[in-house]
Amino acid sequence: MKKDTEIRKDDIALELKNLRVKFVLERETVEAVNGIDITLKRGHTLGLAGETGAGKTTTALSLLRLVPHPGKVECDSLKVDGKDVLKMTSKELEKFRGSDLAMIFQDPMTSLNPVFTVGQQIADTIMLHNPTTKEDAMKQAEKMLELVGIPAVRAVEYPHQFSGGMKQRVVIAIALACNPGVLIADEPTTALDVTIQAQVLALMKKLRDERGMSMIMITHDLGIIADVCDEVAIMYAGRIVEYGTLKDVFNHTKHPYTEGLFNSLPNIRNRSERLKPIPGLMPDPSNLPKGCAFAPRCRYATEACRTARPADRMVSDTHMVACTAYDDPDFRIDRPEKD
Amino acid sequence: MLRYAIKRLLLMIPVIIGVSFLIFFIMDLAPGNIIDTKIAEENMTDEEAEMLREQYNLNGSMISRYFKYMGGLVRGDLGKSYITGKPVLESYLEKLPATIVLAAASILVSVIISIPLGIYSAIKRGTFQDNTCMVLSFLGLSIPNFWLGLMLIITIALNVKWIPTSGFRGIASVILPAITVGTGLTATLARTTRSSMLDVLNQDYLRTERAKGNSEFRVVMRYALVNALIPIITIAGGQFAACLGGSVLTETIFAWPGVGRLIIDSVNSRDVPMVVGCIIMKSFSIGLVVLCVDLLYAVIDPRIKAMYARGRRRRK
Repeated sequence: MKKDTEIRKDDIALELKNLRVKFVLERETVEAVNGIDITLKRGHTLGLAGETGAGKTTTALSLLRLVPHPGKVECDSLKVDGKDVLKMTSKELEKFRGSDLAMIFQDPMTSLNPVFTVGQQIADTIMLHNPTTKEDAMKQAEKMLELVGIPAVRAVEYPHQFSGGMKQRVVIAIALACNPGVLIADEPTTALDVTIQAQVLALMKKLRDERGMSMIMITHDLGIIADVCDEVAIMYAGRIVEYGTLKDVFNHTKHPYTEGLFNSLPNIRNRSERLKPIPGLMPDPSNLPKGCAFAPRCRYATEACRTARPADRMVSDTHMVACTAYDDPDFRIDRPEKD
Repeated sequence: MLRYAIKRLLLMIPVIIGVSFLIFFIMDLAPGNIIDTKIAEENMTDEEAEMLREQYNLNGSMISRYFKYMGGLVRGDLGKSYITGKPVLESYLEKLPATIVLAAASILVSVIISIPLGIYSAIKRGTFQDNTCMVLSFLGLSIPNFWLGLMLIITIALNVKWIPTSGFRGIASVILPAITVGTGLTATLARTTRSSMLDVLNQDYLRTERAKGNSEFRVVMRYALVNALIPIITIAGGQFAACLGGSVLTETIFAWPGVGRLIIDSVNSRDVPMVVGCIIMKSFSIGLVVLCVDLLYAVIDPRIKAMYARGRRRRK
């Protein structure tokens, strides 16, 4: 595992400060993302983990500035490869999407346009960002297909002629076609069965390493995080509750929510053991509790947790946790630390 | 796909049998017959009238006349007009070009107005602009054709020299009748375009297109529109088919030599072979247009094409 604690300016692929996303509806305001900071180092992979509805996909879409109507995005700073995305005109944004920052979408079944051949769909990205002829773009598209393990002759086929795993490979090929510096993968394997999952993940890791890409991996599967990520951000109700290197978060877990996630994993050594789910449900994002959003489900919660939002606390150079309980220097969660 | 087309054409036979029987039956129920028309016009004696009655088999039953007519039909003979004595098919084909030209031009007008209107409404859904567009398209439907036609003649044809007030003489003469018919079709087509686009605009694959770096204009006009096209061409095709039956009001106002007036005139004079023949041709052309629309689906959507292909494979 890479471990650079020192961050040089040009080492940063993506920097996001204080992202807030609200959906203002007639009767309510849904606070999907409430202040998120992300710093992604070049060549690194950040895992963004959390339950459904934690705001992971919304965060990813805000990075591309593609949050759908009626979403309102506010953000102090967003820089990708040193370019200030917030200052971009819509023309510049179009150039930026797909070439600097690309995204692999969650559901391969619905993410491909049913009336265009997969070759056309890949060539389309290439033609948008490179001055090439149609024939040339198609040739490159065929190469991209081969790269993700699909025979080039299938470029003339339509999405309905492909299986789910194949479609996900096509979606990956589209995202990678213009060699983006940063790749966002939004649950790239959730819709796939386990054997295909492993194949797709291995493929993504291989391509990432070959091309030196930085990646944000969105998932709710901690196994995938352990497999591909360097850093981990655990999201809950639109905030990052714990952030650190893979080792920080997995071996020196600090946040009770992260602990709950680990506890709810099945124990492979003791199969008769019951799963320990986190009690309760994620709070309604249109009606978030005043204090810590996790307090109603947290077994360590005190009165202080319910009144004030926990501040981000650095417990080491790389490890951040947002939990009020650590005001007490002796506080420890039950999960033992490992090395 | 060819097999499919042939199958669909064969399915038209029972439709035509049904249609011809219904028209025969209704024409028989209608009060008066061709003899009354002729007596009124030509001062016939009773003997002459009786002779005509014999000639047209009007003393026999409707069923016997129907079977005699169908006997001719299977040989491709649509019969002869009671009034002019000319073959029905000939009279129909004489009027057909003007009808096709007007129908095509009307659909063009309708498409040019409603598709941009529908797309714009869909993009701006729920806003003031959306409502304005939809009201505008309804205005087209609400204005009666006879009024709009007359107004166009008064305001435009009388002032613009190269646009004639009536008749079918060259391209310029199509403009006003096409606007008259076309605007009446906009409401349905614009609404269909809007709802179909709304469906597609929410699809995940458009997000993929945007994330690739496509401009919003390209996303809507290329990637969304193609997917929204099937309901749109279904409605536009249906409207075209309906126009092929002729539009009596507009044809009357603009002295347009179309089949609509031919049919109405024949109904009024109880010219049964003419009415039945024209309606058969009308249902045939409607069937043909609907078939073309169905085949267009396959051109637009590869999934539907695959379905046709799969069907063929199964049968083999």
